[in-house]
Amino acid sequence: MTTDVLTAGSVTTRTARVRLPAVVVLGWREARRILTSPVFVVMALLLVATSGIASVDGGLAPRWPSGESWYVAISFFVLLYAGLLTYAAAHLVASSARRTHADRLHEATPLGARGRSGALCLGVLFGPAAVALGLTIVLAFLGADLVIVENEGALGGAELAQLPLLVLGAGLFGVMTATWLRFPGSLPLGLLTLVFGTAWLVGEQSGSTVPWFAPYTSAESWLDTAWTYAGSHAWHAVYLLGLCGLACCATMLRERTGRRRWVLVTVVVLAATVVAGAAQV
Amino acid sequence: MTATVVTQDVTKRFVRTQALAGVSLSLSSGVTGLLGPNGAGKTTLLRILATVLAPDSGSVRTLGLDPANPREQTRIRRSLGYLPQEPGFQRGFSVFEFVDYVAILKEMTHARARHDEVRRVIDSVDLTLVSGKRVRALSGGMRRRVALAAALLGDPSLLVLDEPTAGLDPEQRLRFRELVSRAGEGRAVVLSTHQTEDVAALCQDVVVLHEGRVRFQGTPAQLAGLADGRVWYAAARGEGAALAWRTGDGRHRNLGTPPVGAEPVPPTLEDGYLLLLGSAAGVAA
Repeated sequence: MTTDVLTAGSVTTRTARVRLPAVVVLGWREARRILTSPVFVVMALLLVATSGIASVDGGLAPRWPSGESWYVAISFFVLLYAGLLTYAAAHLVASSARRTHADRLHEATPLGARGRSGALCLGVLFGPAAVALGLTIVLAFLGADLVIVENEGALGGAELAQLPLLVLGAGLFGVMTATWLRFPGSLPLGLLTLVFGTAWLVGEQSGSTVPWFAPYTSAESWLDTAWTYAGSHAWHAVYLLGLCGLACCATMLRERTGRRRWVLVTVVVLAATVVAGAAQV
Repeated sequence: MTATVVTQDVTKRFVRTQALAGVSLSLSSGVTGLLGPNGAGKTTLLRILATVLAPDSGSVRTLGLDPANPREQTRIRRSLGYLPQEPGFQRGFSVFEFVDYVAILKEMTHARARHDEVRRVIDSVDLTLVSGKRVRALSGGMRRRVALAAALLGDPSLLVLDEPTAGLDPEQRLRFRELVSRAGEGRAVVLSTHQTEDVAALCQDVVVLHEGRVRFQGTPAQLAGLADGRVWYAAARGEGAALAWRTGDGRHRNLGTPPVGAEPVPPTLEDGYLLLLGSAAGVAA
């Protein structure tokens, strides 16, 4: 990257190099790897499929493609699949060096294991989470003047804000699982834990405050049975952000060197997450 | 000449196996060959030199820096190229993408300069024509060259190559030999191998490891010299021969203590190595 610098005295233009930290550059590369993962080909197919299902189920087929049908399709897609597929793609990318033994060559490079883990976390942020944010912005525009057919209404601002956090958290959970559980089968193990853990918290505990602690969106108008206890969707978004931070911290704690600093960061993030968790219900 | 790598009484143990049992070495610029049988501790020593492993005890100074210090370890890694014994490659990466990925890991963050450097090292290992191909679609020899290209990124002062010619056919070995000798100009290269011909052809210095200890350090000529007067031909296996084999012309090449009247022949580096390890193992007469 170059930038023009004006020097005092004479108005001379010279070029100076701005060096991005290697972890950021690698983060962009990892984002590209996650987004081009074969898992996302499946994701694209699912998007088409859910668009169709949502259109038919919602009685939107005659009006397809309308803003309303797009709204239903995108929101269903993000709520149901995007997180899980991001988890799988991030896990596959994060574990690929170990699975292919490429880490033998990476071990002796100056970026180090923690730098590579940090880049993977940034990759989730720059890649699928950024795409999910884009979709959320599209939803916000589409939902501004829509009356949703089957449901009570469009998602609120705080609920929409949770969608990219859902994707970010799932991806970071994938990186964390791949970093800590270095054995074949850690991907399905993490996936089952994520799915059944969330389903248990949201489904079986409906009617209590417990669903609010699930790593899932509190989209009241879409999953209304689970969120019978009044709570703050905005604080739930902050709580999800805290969970994302904790997944990132857990990943960074895998390496022994410099662990003390990350323990301190983890304590601060944990405290903030607990506060947000308590504030949401 | 200033030593690039100095180790002092380095030990390393893996559960029940004593991989290194007090290795003291001093390596300067030029190509140094590390010879030894399987399990001698070559890979462990190279992984320690490459800052991938830490020794249990003893000290290592690489390029004048201490790899036990995290900051200095990073500085060493900035000047280090490492080719592991069996390098792996992520699925889906082309040659260019793989080397470019390693270049980022080597903190080359400026895209244009990095791409120029990636093209340079790919060209230096004669892979420009296949730089767009998937690494996994290449032959074993080509893949080794890809890994060597990654090791050469940034023109490192120290190259650590773990069995770079293992599994290569004779032509590929000769090509690789040419590449390593070119890479060894003006920098320190440490390579481990089972091929005594590679050491004889490439190395200014040779170190023989056996059971985690240094059995020999010197020039290839000095290693060959250990067998001076102890190699002779005879019609049959000679008395006093620690090792003997029938050659293509029907005669037996004997290594050991020649009988009276035997005419010694000039030894090779392999003769010296075999006799050295034979005596280390208590085999030779």
